[in-house]
Amino acid sequence: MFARLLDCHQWADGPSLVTSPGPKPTVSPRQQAANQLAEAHGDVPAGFTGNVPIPPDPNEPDDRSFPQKVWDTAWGVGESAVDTTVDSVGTLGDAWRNFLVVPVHDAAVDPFGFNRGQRAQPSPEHSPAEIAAAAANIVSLIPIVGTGGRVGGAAVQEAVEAVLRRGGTAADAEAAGRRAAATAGEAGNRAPSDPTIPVGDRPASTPVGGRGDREINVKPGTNRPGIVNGREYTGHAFDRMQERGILPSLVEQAIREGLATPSRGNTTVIYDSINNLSVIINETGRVVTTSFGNLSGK
Amino acid sequence: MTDQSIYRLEAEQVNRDYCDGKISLHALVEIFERYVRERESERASDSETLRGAWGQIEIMNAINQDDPSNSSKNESKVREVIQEFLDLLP
Repeated sequence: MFARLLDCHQWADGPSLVTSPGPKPTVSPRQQAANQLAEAHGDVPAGFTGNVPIPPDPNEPDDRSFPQKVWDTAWGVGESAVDTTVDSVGTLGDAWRNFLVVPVHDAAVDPFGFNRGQRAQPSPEHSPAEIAAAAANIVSLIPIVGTGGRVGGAAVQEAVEAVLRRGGTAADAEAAGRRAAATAGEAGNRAPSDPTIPVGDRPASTPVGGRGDREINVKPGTNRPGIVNGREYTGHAFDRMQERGILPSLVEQAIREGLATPSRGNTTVIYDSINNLSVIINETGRVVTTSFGNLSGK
Repeated sequence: MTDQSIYRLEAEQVNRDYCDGKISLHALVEIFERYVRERESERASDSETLRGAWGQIEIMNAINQDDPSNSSKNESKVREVIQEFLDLLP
């Protein structure tokens, strides 16, 4: 009845107010086929004139930027990290492992897409250094690294970087890294603490210490220098953080809110009294070491 | 001999070992930090000052490990900060 009244109203006001949908906008043959299929299967209501959702065409060129791809697939790394963590609860400092993947998946603030359109967009294009850092993070998820010595570790890193450079997903990169590690042979199953593995090639999947009595001994040179969340760290700083259980988030907080005091060797001691943590940075802002307690001497 | 003077005697021996090349600066830093921790656990009034002095040695250690090519150039500063730490020990 209401529809009939509406019809009458429309005709009474003249044809200019007729709300005809008009001709369908031009759509791709693939979309057209999907629409027809949905109509034939009764998946859409009779008279539906819109387009049904279709998955992305795998043969279409992917014109997303590299950071966008990393963004879109970031949650994949998170899942991978979770799986790996579950496998290694007893052995690894989970926090250590988790923060290592931060540069890749930290941006995935909305992994389930609940607020599509409201997600912040990744800003700058990833530099080679960032790709290298992301690759290092992914490599750290692979328990067998350093197979065949330094060459093995480099091969794994290279395989991961190659996938990232050509725009592959983080999960693909990790898979490529695992394949590279596996092909290096049985020797790759050696324990991370195996002294025959060069220290620079040992994965970060080693135990992590904690404050006070929970500190562990980390041999000098265990960790290589790296970048976490855009901040450079020396290998020594990573060693200290690992043995004392100091997370980069604590370091960042200290740098943000701590009290800075110039120190020897063109360094600055930044003391965060809330966490009783000192972070020492050099003139370029690189973190050279960290320690609990006030090292500023003030 | 009191426990406190033992700290100093031991620390001076450690320093001699470092100067003789028997131990690395990193090893010295680790040993000296144990003294600092013990003083901190004793809640000694000088523990904060000791921690700060130890920090200066650790900074030189960190700088040397980051750039070993400059370590010989930094040696006089290293000796200086070690002496400052020793002077603070009871």
